[in-house]
Amino acid sequence: MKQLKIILALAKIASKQYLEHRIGTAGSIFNSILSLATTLLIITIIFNLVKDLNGWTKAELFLILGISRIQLTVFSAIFQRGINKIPESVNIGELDLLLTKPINSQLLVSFRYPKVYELINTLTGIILTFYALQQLRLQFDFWAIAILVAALICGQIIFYSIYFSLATLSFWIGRFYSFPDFFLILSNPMSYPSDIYTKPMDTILTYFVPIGLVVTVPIKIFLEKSPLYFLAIEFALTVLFLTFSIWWWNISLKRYSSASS
Amino acid sequence: MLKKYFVLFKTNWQSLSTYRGDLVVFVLSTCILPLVALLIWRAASVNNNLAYNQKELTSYFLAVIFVKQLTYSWAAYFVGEDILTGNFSSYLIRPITILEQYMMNNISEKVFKLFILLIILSIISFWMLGKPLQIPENPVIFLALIISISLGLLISLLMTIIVGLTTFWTHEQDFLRYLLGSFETVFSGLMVPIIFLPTLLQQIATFLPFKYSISFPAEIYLGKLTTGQILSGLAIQALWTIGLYFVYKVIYRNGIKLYQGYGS
Repeated sequence: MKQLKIILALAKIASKQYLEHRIGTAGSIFNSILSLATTLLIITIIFNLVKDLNGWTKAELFLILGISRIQLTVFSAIFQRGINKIPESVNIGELDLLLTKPINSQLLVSFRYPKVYELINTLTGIILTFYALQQLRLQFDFWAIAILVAALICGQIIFYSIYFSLATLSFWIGRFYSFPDFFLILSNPMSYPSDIYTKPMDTILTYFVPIGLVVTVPIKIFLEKSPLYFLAIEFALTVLFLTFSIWWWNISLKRYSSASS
Repeated sequence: MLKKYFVLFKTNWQSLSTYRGDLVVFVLSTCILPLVALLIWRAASVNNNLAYNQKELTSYFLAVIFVKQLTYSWAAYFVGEDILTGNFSSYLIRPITILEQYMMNNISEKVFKLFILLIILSIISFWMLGKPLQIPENPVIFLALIISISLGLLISLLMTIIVGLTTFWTHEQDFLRYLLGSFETVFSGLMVPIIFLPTLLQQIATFLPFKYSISFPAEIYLGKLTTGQILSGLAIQALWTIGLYFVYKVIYRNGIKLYQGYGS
């Protein structure tokens, strides 16, 4: 309960900071719309030439894009800035202040710089998702939605675990100036179904660097392109990756030499 | 005059040598978009009658990744930041222009990244085409490629510096930077070969500079152009470079009058 109160307090402070720079905030929202519009245009151009992409239709691709947009903006709103600051904090010894606080250090570094305004950007993803569902003319019930939401939450935790574990490498390699570029490297392939990529990329992106589990697998379960037991696999891999990120953080902390020591 | 370029190159090179690991990540992040496009179009070419077959699409996007890495410019963000933080003042007292500074920074980093890029492209070429990366054998084509990539880099550099310099007026350049990025994604051939664009977009692409920083050099590399097309393309690149240079000079001259060096 105390941890949750601290997280909410951090979100409140961050919101006030961003509302002081309203033009920058509005610009960020516009940029998000621009980025989505560009990808939509690319997909439309592709489907002017082809009927499907390895069994995926245009509406299904829009669904993938909408859901990936929601996943990425939620991640960006809650975790991205805090995790991006880890390499800098390690490099200049700023982590001392965080490690001495009476709160789990991984939780604090992950949640310390939320960009709450970014959640507005999920609107574009939500609108696209509803448009895609309308085009697909699907009949679905409460349980289908519940399973999709559960799978997407697992996907969000997996993405967090991968990104956080990569940031933790900064304890081992010193300066890690390029770390924020990993967000681009991981998020770009996520806007398209991982099984349109040729093997072994499909297998790598589903089970080893499992960004396929963040969006593609939940959508495939929802569209009944994958059997329901994939949800159990997703859940198991979520536990595995989250446990690894916690273990890796604790091991890496032992290598930390602070600014004062 | 050449000595100052050499000094700039050497300084940047020494800085880059210290943190080589970061460059690998930067190369990957620049490659990721065309790499994803390559995989998507390879999937699209299966059971569909496209103008390029799978091998041609693979060769095209390998060429795009190669050219993109060599012509890509990151100046917009850093120029904007320098203006906002007052660090721009240092350019006013140095015996080099901001264009020269970023050009040498760009070239030194590209030379370093080229080694990493060639390894990545060789792996992809062996995996997808079953053969090593090919260099144009015709010396005239090879020379045209070098000139085209150089002009493509200048076009890219000037566009990004111009966007960065707009910070003199707007105090914020993220929006223009993203707009430039979106136009480049659509009209440069980075994600979609120009030939696959709808006719209207192909015509628009012809009148914009983006295609001449990526798609045109890539097509020279692939040997898809006649001598006449190469010469006219190079002439258009040169015209764009001169035109953008004049825009840069005008914006710079007028922007400096507004600059007050806050934060320095």
